[in-house]
Amino acid sequence: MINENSKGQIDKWIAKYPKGKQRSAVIAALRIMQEQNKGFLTVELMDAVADYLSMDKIAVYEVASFYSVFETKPVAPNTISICTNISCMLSGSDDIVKYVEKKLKTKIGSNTDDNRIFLKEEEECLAGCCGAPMMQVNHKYHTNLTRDKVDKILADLK
Amino acid sequence: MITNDNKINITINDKKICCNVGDKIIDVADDNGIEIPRFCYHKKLSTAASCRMCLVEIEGAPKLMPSCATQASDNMVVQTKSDKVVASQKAVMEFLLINHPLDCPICDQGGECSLQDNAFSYGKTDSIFKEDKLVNLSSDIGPLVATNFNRCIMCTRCVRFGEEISGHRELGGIGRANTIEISTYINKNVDSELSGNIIDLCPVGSLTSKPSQFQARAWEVIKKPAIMPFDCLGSNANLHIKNNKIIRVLPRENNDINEMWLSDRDRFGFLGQYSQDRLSNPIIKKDKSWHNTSWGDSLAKMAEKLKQAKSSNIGCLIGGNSSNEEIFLLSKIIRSFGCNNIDYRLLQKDFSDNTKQKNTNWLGLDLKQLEQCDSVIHVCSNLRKDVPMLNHRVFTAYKNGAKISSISNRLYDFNYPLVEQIGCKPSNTIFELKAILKEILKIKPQKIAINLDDIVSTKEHKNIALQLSTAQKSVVMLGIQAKLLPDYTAIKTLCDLISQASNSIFAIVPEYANSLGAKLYGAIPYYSDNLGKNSEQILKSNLDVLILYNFDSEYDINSDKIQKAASLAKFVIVINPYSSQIWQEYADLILPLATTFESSGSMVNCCNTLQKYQQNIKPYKYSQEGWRILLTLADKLSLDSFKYKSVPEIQNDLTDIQQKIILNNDTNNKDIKKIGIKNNVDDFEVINEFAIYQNHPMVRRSLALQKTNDAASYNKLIISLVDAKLLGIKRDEKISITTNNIDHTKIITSVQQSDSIPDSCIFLPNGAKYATINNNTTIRVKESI
Ligand code: SF4
Ligand code: FES
Ligand code: FES
Repeated sequence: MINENSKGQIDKWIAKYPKGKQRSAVIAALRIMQEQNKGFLTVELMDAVADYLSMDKIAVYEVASFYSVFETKPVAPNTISICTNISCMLSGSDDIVKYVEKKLKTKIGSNTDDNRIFLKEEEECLAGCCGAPMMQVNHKYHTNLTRDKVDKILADLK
Repeated sequence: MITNDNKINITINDKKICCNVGDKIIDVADDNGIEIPRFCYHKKLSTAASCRMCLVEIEGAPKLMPSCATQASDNMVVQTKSDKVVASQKAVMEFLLINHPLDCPICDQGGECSLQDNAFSYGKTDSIFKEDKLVNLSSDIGPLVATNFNRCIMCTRCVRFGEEISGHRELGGIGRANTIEISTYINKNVDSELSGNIIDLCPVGSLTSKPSQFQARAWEVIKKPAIMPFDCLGSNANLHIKNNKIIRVLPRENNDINEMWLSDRDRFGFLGQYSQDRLSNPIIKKDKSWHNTSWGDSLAKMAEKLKQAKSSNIGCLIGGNSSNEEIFLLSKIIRSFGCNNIDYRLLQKDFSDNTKQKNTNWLGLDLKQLEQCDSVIHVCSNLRKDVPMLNHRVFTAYKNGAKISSISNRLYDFNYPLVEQIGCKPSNTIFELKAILKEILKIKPQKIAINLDDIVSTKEHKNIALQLSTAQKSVVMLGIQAKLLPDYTAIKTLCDLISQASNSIFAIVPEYANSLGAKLYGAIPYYSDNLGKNSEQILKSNLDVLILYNFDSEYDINSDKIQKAASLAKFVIVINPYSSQIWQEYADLILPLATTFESSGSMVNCCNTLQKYQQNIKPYKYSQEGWRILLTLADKLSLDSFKYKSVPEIQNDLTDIQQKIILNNDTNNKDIKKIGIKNNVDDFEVINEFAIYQNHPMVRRSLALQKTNDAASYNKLIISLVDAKLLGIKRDEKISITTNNIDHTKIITSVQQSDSIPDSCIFLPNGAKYATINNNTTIRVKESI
C-alpha cells in the first residue's frame, strides 16, 4: 500500500516527534498517501496509515474526514480550488466560480466529464488575500484572476 | 487554607463544603447532593467539557466555567443557580435541541433520557430556531446496539468509552462542525465484547438496546438485583422486569466486581431464557415414547432407581454454573449412598492432580490488586473473550503501566499491546513454559527439582522472564483454555514453579460461574476421603443411574462420550432447563429446572466472594427451582439431615463450610517428573476452546449474541496458511469433515486460514477427533487422552 518513497517521507515526519508519539505524523502521512494515490484517499490507504502509525483505524478516518484538504472519494488528478472567502468574494470570486463551472461543464465539488479536473468544494481563505481573487491549481497559487487569466491557466492544464 | 491532609473549603450555593485538593466541582456537588446538569461528563471517562451544560459561576472568574473540568480551589465560591447560570443553561438546551428530532414518543430512551430531564428542568419551552434540521442517518452497528444518530448530541461518551474502557476505538466523530456525526465510518459492526455499555453511557436515545427495542417503557419495569451466572466474576446487575418477563439487564454498580459496566454476555445472555426449547413438564420414557408425569411421581421414580442402584454404580455430572445450594444438596444426596462419583469438570481431560490435592483454586488476588500489578503473563488464556470484565482490570493495569505477555495455542487478539506473544501447539505448551522457567533461573538462580538441561530457550522466553523478574508485583494467570488441554496438570505445575521462581502471584481463572462453589460444596470426586470417579471415568462406566444436572449435551461436555455413556447406563435422569435431541434420545426421565434468574441461591466468584441472589421471576411453566427439587427428592429418599425449608436455612450450613476451606493454588511439586508428553510430528493437533458465546446454556440460546461476529468467529474450522497451502484448501471453501463419533457425523464447515494458529494444528469448535477433509485429504488428528 505505502510505497518506498512515501515510507521514506512518512518516516521523516515520524522522526520529528518524540518516540512513541508517531501518531502525530498522521496529517503528514495522509497528505503523502493522497499524493501517492494522485489526489484522494481510500479506506485501504487510511487503514495502511493506521497500521503504520499504530493507531485505531477510526482515528485516522476522523482526521481524514475533518480536514478539507483530504479527499475521501475518488477525484480527478488535477485539483482546482477557488477561494470564495471574504476578500476574494469582494473582489469577484463568485464570477470566477461561475466562469470556471461553465467552461469545464461541471459543478463545484465534482469532476469534469473526462475525469481530468476536480473542482474542489467551497474553500475557506487560502491566505492569498493580497492577490484576491485567487485560486489554487495543483498546489500552485494563481492570483488577481480575470477571465483571460483563467482561460490561460486552464489551457496550460490541457 | 490547605490543611495537611490536603483538604480545602469551598462554598457552593452558600453551602460550606470541605473537599480534597484537585476534586472537580461537579464531583463535589454530586457528593453533597447539589444537582448540576451534564451530558458529556462521566465519572469513569476522561473529561471532554464539550457540551457546556454544566457551566457554573465562580466568584472572580469573568466567564462561566465548566464544573466538570474545573478543580475546586481553596475558598472558591461557586453558584450553580445564579441568573447567569440559568440563562446559560437555557441557551445550551436550546442549542442542543436545534437538530434534535424531538421524537420522544417513539424513542426507547423516553423516561430515562438526560435530554428530556434537562430540557424539563433547565430548558425553555420554545426556540428561535426556525431553519431546517439536519438529518443523520442511522447505521447498523451490529445485533446488540440500535442507533438513531439523529438524536445524538455529540457528547462523545461512546467514543471515549471505546478508547478508554473497551481499549479499541470503533466509533468516532466523522466530519466536522455542524455536520459531524458519530459513526464507524466504514460499514462495520461494533465488535467489542463490552459494546452494550455505550447504551447506558449515551445520555439520549441515540444508542439503545436492539434486542429490547420497543418492549417496555422505563417506568413500566420493576428493577430487581441479580448476579450474572455467565462467567466466574459474577457481575452485579439489575433485571428490568415487566409482567414476569425480563426485558433487559443493566449493570448495578459494585466497584469490587464489575464497577459500573457489564459485558455483552452478561447484558444479553438472558435472552436465552426465552428459548423455544425450554422444558415445561417432567417427562418420563415408557416403551420408547415420552409421557408427561407429575413431579411427585417422577421424583419417586428417581428415588426408587437410586435406592435400587449399587452405590458404586451411581454417577452424577453437574454443570459448573449451578448454585451453591444445588451443588451442596445434590452432592449430599449422592454421598448419602456412600458414592463419590460426582464431578463438575465436564470438559477437563487431565485429572492427575485430583488425587492428592484438596485445595480450591481461585484467582489468588482481588481485582483492585490486579489493577495495581505491573506485570501479567497470560497462559492459555483468551481473557478478553473468556472473562471480559476481568480482562478489563488487566487493561486498567496496562494503563497504569503494567507489561503484559501471553503464551497460548492460538494468537488471540488482546486490547492492549503485548511485550511478547508466543503461540505454540498444545503439546508444546509445557516446553515453552519450561524455557521461561529456565530463563528465570538464569536471572534468579535457585534450586528447583526439575531438569531443564535439554530445553532450548529463545529471546522471547528471556523477555518474558525479564518482565516477570523485574516487576514489583507480577501475576502468572492461568486461563480457562488450559483446562481443555491434555497436559493441564503439568502446565499448572509449571505455572506454579514459574510464579515461585519469579516471586509472582499465581492466579487461576475458574472456567465456570461457580467453579469455586462446585469445589467448596462437593461437586468433585475427591471431596471426602474415599475417592470417587471423575467425569471422564463416569462417562466410561457402566452405570445403574446416571444423573445429568444443569448442562447441555452438546457444548458443555463431549457429546460423543455423553451419548455413549447415556446409552450404556440403565437409567438416565436429566435435570435441566432446556431439552435437547441427545437428551430425548438417551434419557429415561427429564425434569424441567428453573434457571438462575428463576431461583434463589448463591455463587462464589473467582475472588472467593459469596454472592446471594433472590428469585426474580417465576419459573417457566412447571419447572422448579433446583433446591426445591432436590429437597423433595431427599424427602422421597427419607434421608435425614435435609430438614431445610428455605434457601437461607441451607445457606447457614454453607457458610460454615466456606469458612473451613483453604484457598490456594499450590501444586504438588513431586509430580514434576511426569511432565512432558511425546510429540508425534505427523499428527495434527486439535485445539478446543471455551467459546465466548457457547459457555453457558442460556448464552448459547441468546439469538442476539449468536449473531455477533464474536460468535461467528468460532463457527469455522481454522488452519494455518501453510497447512492450507499444503492441503490445497482455498479460502472460505466449504468442506466436509467426518468425525469418529458413534455414527460418523458429517460436519459441513467453511475453512478459515489464519496466521494466528500454529502449523499442524486444527481449530474445531466441536472437538472432532479424526477429520477427513475434502474426502481425499486426511488430516490425522492427534488423540488427546
Ligand atoms: S451517540 Fe450518544 S453517547 Fe455517542 S456522542 Fe451521541 S449522544 Fe453521545
Ligand atoms: S479570502 Fe481568498 S485568499 Fe483570503
Ligand atoms: S458536562 Fe461539563 S461540559 Fe459537558
